[in-house]
Amino acid sequence: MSEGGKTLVHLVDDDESIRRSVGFALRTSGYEVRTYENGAEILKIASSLETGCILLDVRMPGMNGLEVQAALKEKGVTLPIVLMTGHGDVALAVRALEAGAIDFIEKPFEKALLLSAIEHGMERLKQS
Amino acid sequence: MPGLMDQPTFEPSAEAEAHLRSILATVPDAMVVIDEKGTILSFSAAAEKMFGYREADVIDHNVKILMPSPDRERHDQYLVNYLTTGKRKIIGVGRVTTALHRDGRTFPIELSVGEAWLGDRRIFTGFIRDLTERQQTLLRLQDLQSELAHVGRVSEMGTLASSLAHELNQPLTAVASYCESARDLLDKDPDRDTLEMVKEALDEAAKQAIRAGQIVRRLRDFMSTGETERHIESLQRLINEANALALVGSREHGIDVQLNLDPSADSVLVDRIQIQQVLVNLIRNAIDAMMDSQTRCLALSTARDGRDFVEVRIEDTGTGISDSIAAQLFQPFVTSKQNGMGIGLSICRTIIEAHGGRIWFEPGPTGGTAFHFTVPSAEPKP
Repeated sequence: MSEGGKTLVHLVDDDESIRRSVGFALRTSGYEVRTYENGAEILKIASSLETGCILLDVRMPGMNGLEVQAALKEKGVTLPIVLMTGHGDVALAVRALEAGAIDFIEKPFEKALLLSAIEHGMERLKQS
Repeated sequence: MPGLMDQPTFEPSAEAEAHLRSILATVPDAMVVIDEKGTILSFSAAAEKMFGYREADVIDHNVKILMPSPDRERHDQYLVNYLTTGKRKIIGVGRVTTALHRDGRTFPIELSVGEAWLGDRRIFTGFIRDLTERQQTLLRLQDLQSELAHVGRVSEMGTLASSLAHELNQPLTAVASYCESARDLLDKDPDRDTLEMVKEALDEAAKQAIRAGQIVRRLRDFMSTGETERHIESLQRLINEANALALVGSREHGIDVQLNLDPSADSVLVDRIQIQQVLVNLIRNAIDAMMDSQTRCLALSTARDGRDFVEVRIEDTGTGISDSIAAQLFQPFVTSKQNGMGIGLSICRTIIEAHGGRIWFEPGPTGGTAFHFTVPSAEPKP
């Protein structure tokens, strides 16, 4: 949770249009959003990552979403992770779920689905 | 000197002959002179080196000893055909074919044949260039080409759909996010600032829709540049050349090659390089499939297929294809080979289908596999 009591979302996607549009959708829905262009960027600050939900793209150049997920886990990050998959990435997403991700949503997704996945993640975080 | 006067006028003088011989000894191409019956009259130093025979070993022998099957059995007939019809198949044309070394090894050659009259005697001179080295370079090049074609074509055809969908999903996701956000913003009795945000969101959504359109357009351009370069070609020539390429280093495995080419199915309208790539691929597959078989017979045949197509058949006497592999054989990355990438046949299919033809396979009559493909005929319509 960030200062204003807003839920914080860490948005990791290599595509600027996704960072901007999904960021816009989340901000106008009452979320605070921090964006990262790739896995390395979020991993750099993994030890000081503020509580929130991680929204992670699967298909990225360099480290893919799954590798970022594993690296975060290794660094002791226990924040809920929601994966965004493109076409044909479903098998990858299933592996991500097995590795502990909260949910995955397939692009393009409805806003309601996006919000409920994040809420679901935040509830899990509260429970634990 | 009556002896000298007796010599026929077309015989060169001893001096001229010595000069000629010294030239021939230094020409890198092998030279073999035969008479109308195919009997070897002269065998140059380069030929001795290339074939492993001394001139004395081969003089007065039939030239067919320098050829592997099926030319070996057919060369006498080739000569008879030419002498009776006068139709030139190789004289003055030149072609890539295969030669047989004394030790049983075969090697690819480029053969040109010249014809000359010595008085009333007709002789044929074969100039032979060993292509082994060049062919090995070519083969390597072909491998590289296949790899490139793989990168190109597999993403073209196989993963194109997937990467296209992925790329289109990005702007679609953005459009959906902006539109839904705008809708929700308008829900709550919007003030001026909110309306500004809505405007901005719709603006962005429109831009992303345009981006999606550009992706589709790029795909269309990509497809249209994939046009092939087609010309009228002789199937016999394509098959001979592909054979010489594909069989490099494999005849020592005792593979018997049978050709049965229908002359009325010879002219085809194809991209030569691409169809040779298909042929080389299928022939090499056939050879690989027979490595563990007792009988190793590769049969290549052609026939007309209706008015507009020619069918090519490549049959082996190998072990056949298991049912589990058969169903998806033309898919990329499916292979029955130990070291195969599983891309050859998917490339073949892409090429053949781009020519408007079909490619398929069935169990061969002798237990191996018969691959068939069709390409557009360029023969006059029957």
